[in-house]
Amino acid sequence: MKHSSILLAFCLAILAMSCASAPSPTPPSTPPPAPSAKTDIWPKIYNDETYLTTFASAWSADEALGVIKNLQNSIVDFSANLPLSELNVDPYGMRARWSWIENGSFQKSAGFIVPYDQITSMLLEHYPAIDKDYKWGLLIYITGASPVSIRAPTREVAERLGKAIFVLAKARNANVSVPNARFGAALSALSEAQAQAAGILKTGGIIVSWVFKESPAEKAGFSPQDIITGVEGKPVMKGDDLFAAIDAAATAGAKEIKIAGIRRSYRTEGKTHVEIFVPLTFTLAIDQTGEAK
Amino acid sequence: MNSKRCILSVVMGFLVLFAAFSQGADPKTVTPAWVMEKQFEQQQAGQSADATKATNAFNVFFIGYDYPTLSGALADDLASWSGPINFSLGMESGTGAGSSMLTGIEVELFVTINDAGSRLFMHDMAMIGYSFDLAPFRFNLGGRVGLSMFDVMGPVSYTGIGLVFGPEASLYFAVDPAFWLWIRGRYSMASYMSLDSGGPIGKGNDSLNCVSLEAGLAFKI
Repeated sequence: MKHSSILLAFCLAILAMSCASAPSPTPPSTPPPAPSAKTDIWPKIYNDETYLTTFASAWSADEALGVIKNLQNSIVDFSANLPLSELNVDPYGMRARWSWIENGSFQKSAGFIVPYDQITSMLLEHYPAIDKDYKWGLLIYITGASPVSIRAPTREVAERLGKAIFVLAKARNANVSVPNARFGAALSALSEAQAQAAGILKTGGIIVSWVFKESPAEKAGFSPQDIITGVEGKPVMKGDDLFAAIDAAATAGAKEIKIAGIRRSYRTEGKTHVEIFVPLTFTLAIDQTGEAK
Repeated sequence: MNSKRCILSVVMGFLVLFAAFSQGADPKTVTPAWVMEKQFEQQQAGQSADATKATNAFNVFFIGYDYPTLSGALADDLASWSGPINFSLGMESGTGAGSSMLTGIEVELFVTINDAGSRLFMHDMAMIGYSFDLAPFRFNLGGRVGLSMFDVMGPVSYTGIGLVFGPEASLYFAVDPAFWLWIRGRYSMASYMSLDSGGPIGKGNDSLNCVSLEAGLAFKI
């Protein structure tokens, strides 16, 4: 029985070692706590890209009408992603419809109307993440109505449509706002909560809502949520102060202008991320051919 | 002299502060918070996915009854020692949630104690293979290699130790996400050397083949 005892002890020892060294997937280590998103007070970050354009063209109203009619087969509504079955265009507006079959036999239809004299602004959009072929688009803001979003297969088609609509809107005396071509970022007034979070006095100030692609602001390094506090050593109270300073510098023949700002960021301390606000100086190149509004 | 030093220190301090704060940082050197927040979210999503993958991986402890059928040179010598106390236990771990590579360990233990004496027979084996996720089933194919030992205490006492290897296939059925029923079949070949001068191994009967049919329970770990 001596051998059996030895063997049994040996078996148990090997079993114990086997169990101890058994491969098992180890759960990943606990991730460091991520900072809570401060989107409640800071401008929303959009996934789509807005390109800087003033939709300027030398087309007449008749030419613009022709351009829109010629684009009927190249544009779709943003959400339906269906070709337009009907497009009615005249000097007063643009009316479109599209239809589809639901549940095998029910024909449904929907549409949009763009009254030219009610247009307040237009944006050239790109939706890189969208799972459709029509990744370019035009977002048309209309007084008292939801924006109309039209998508196109290429930037050229979207831009042509925008230029044509802009010509017709101008012909109808619409007060269409276009981006400042010498800057190229959408600005909002700095709220008290934002000023308090950044630790600055709420005596004015502006915050960048989004930055247009291919704009001087993008090239200068501006980012959404940047706070603009001064330009050329003078405080900025509102967007017009900034644009006036850029225009004055352009008139004076300056090639660039210094803009002071504050950027929200994070500093990593061990396993935690601490929100910080970093003073920045932006150097904005001035395009002498641009025009501020 | 002290007052001059104080004034100089204050002036120097102001100069340093002026140099530090008169010029803001280059925007290219400061990552915006929203960019970092997106990175944090992606990191957390990745870690959560890894955690889910690890949680859902096939990772079980099993125990079951083993029915061995012996053949080969040593089979006749061990035939009189067959008995009902045969069991196997071990662990198997997949590398992913779906079909994936599989590793495992297993101990087969056959114990016989009767009036003639006793026999202990054991296979300690490691396994590598592939697990096919055929929910609610899992079909595993692989091969095992390991150590085989037996010890006979009877009219003729001898002990053998050797190498065992062979292919196997097993089928698991998930009764519950944490509980499985399984069956396994394995053919193993072993070759022994003797730790004692007597016995059949010393006479050249040093090989043993074993067909193991197993069935039992498995628990998620």
